[in-house]
Amino acid sequence: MRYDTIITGGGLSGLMAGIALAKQGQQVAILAKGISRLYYNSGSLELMGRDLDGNEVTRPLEAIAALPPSHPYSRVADVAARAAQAREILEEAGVKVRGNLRRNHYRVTPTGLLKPAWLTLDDYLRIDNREQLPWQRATVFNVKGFLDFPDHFVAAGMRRLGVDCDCKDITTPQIERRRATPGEMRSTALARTLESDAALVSLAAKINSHTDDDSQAILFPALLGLDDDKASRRLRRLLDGQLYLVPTLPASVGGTRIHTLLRKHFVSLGGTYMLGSAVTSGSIDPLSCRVLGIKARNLPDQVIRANHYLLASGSFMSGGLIATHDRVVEPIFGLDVDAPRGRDAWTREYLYDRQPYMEFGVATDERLHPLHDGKPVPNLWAAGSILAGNSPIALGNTTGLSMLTALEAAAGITSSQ
Amino acid sequence: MDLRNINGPQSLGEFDVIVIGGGITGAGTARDCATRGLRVLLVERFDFTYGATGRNHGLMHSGARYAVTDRDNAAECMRENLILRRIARHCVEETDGLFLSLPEDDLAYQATFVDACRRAGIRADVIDPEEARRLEPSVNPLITGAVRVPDASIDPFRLTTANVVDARRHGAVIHTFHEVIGFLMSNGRVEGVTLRDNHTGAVKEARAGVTINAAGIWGTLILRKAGITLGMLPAKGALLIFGNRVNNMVINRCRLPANGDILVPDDTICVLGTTSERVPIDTIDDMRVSPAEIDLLLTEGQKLVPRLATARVLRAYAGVRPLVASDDDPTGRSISRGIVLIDHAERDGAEGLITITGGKMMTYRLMGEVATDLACKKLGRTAPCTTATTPLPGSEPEKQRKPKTGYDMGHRAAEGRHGNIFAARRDASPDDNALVCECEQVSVGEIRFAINKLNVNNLLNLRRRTRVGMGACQGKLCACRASTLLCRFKGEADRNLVELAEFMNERWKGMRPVAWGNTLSEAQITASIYADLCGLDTVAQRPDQDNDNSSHDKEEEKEA
Repeated sequence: MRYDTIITGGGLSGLMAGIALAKQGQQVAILAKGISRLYYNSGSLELMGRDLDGNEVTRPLEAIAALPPSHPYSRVADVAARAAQAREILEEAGVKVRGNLRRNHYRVTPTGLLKPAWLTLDDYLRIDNREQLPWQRATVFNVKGFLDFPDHFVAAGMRRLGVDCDCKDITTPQIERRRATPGEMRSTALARTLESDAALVSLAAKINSHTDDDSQAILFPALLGLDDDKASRRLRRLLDGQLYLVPTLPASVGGTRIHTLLRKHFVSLGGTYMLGSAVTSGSIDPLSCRVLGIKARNLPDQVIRANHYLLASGSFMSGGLIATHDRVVEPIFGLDVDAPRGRDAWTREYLYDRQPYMEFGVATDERLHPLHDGKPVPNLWAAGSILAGNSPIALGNTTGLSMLTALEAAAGITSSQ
Repeated sequence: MDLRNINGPQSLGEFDVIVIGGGITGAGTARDCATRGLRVLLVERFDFTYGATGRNHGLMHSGARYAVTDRDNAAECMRENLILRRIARHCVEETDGLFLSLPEDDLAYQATFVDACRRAGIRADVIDPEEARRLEPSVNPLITGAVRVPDASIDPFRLTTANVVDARRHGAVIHTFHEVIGFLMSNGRVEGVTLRDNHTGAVKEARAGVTINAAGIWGTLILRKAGITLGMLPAKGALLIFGNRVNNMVINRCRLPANGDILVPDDTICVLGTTSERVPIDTIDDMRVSPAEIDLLLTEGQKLVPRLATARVLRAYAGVRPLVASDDDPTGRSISRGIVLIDHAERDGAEGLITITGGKMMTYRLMGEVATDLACKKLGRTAPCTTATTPLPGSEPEKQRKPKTGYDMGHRAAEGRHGNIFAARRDASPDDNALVCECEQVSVGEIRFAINKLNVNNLLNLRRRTRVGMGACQGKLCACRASTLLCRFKGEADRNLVELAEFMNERWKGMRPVAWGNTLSEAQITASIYADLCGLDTVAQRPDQDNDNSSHDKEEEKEA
């Protein structure tokens, strides 16, 4: 099978680009190694949360326009148009989100803090105006024995916003069975348990018995809906008060939902998603500087070829970059990496300072072609967290940069045909 | 209005003995004094094991390492080694050790070494290199010689905790986060100490017939407050922690002590060390490990155990040995590690003040014994020392051994850590069985136990008592889980949130010097969780470079 485009990396970037290309009628294969960065997702997607000086961003488009040309966002010609395209794809895939491109809202973190966001899953708690919340009372319900939800921090966060808020533990017979084995009480396992209607009915009865006032907000850990929002819609109907989900520590149920829906959408468009197919190597012709083919771990004897290749293999944590004790390499193609040699310059002493290593990545030309020995590779594109020059955590833009550069690369691939 | 300001500093009371320092020496001395019936106050400026006790190899020396250079010290180590196997068995893993000769080493040294060990009373069996490779498969296959000695692995955190628990059982009063800021003197006589509560800033005082300075290298700074000068040579030792347990026996190089020639297995990890370098006294609160030291340790360590080349380095840390000045040796390595007991009445005319220093973690009990002997003499007391024969809490004989079935891994791990003082809690509920830390198998029940029984105020205290956050993941999820439990059991969510942010920064400090490979990837994941997902970057308070006391308690430390 010869593909039009092969995408290395099955995370948010790879899926976004894959869907955009499949919609253009391309034969696309995504080779995915394992879990993606969505595993750590908050249930929100962001474009830009802070500027380079560390100030909170209210209007993300303006903040992106102010970035220097070295920033990978500057490779996206029309940010607003690409953002609209990303949102359209999310909606087609069944990812229900709310948010406004012109103005950030706040997402609520698992520790009860606020961070700017562009889109938030519509069953999650989001705050448009921190000075004025639609309710004055809230209860944080946690599942008894579930340790990955810092309920007391969430309640403290609500109290800082002027909300009268306390914590309650609840459980159901279905959850109690899980509790018999320590280590089973993790988010994804509980989300599977809470798919059953009996469990949801029992959960709703417990919550309702503690809720005396239907004007009160019910905050519940995001343990509902690995595949879609069916479970949270069902629970919402069963409850007396307003239900809002608050993200937990990883694994992220919301991130898994986004990933699952995008993957299903990609496959329904005719795409091939190969999970567990880590790309081991790629060869680049030294004369033409074109990619000749790639090899994957589960097909060791076969060279996989395509007309176009997209590298969306992520940063260090995803294996897209590897640091040896003195240099940083891109392990598949051996592309040029923007990172100094010698690890003294990679890190800063204070954890929460902007860490230089976060900005390391592959260097590209204006059209997202990575460089190999200083020359752009014409049939290869790069997108997402592997791109050099971004500080995703400091700028609060991990998911936005992934989606928008992926769609930009997909447009480049389409127009090069 | 604060009444204390009118009435002067709050008094903590009158004691027979005040022990300064919450390391293993202070804890052991407090235990000895308390079990002899003295009224004891133990004060520590931050947390137990904050200093050198928390930053060493966790090696229970047989003394073999010093047999050639310092036979008296070696023999002392061996005697204490045998005692600790009896009184602190829950802190000791009886691994034995090997002294290996590599092709580049002079095999004639082996004969000198074995002879010196035997003269010091240390069993040293020359074994065939083939036998050594069978006993310990991780060793370099090219070894030309091997000697087996009774080295072992010991957990300094547990050992200190057990001594503190026993001191308290015998009536000792214990105050962590109380720093000595001055001495109460009358006619040249030391009658007690002035303290600052490092949580509240309140100034307090306590009186005693005898004050024992057991503060390790910091002891020299404390003595200055009494106008006494004691020359000490701070000698920094850097160590590396690996993310898995590569070896099952202690592995040493059979040569004169040098850099990077000891690898000690310790729970789920192993520790490679050390270096030895004189450092200025004003840097001892801020020890850093340089890339050159890391490269040196890795190069030397891989000669002994080639597998270290591919093992993941979890953290780097450094401790400061409290060596007492005796000559101009620039490394501090040839100086005796022997015990130094100073009666400041004789040396400086300061009656009522004793310093116990030098020595090693191995000889902490003996240090406590000689210091308490002197204190008893000054106080006119005659009770004999029993610490060599009475087991520590956690290692006491059980009247009836209950069968080890029907409770889970987390409880077994906790019992391993705390000995049978934890064993009373076998009837655990599902709440207590839930696992907080998968790497180290720390359960909610153990966290609750530590909070209730082991002087835990924050996440750092909890880590030192239970190993939460010390495993291969370095607190990736368990730090937040444990912090939530602190809120649940003790309240104060806002303070705990800031401390969680600072705790992760402290974990980073030890990872940073070795941040490449998987350690860098893990650091990025941790940052994704705590900064990006949770937003702790918005509440963290940047540590002040100046004299911010609260920031001193965020240093890197022994493992993991």
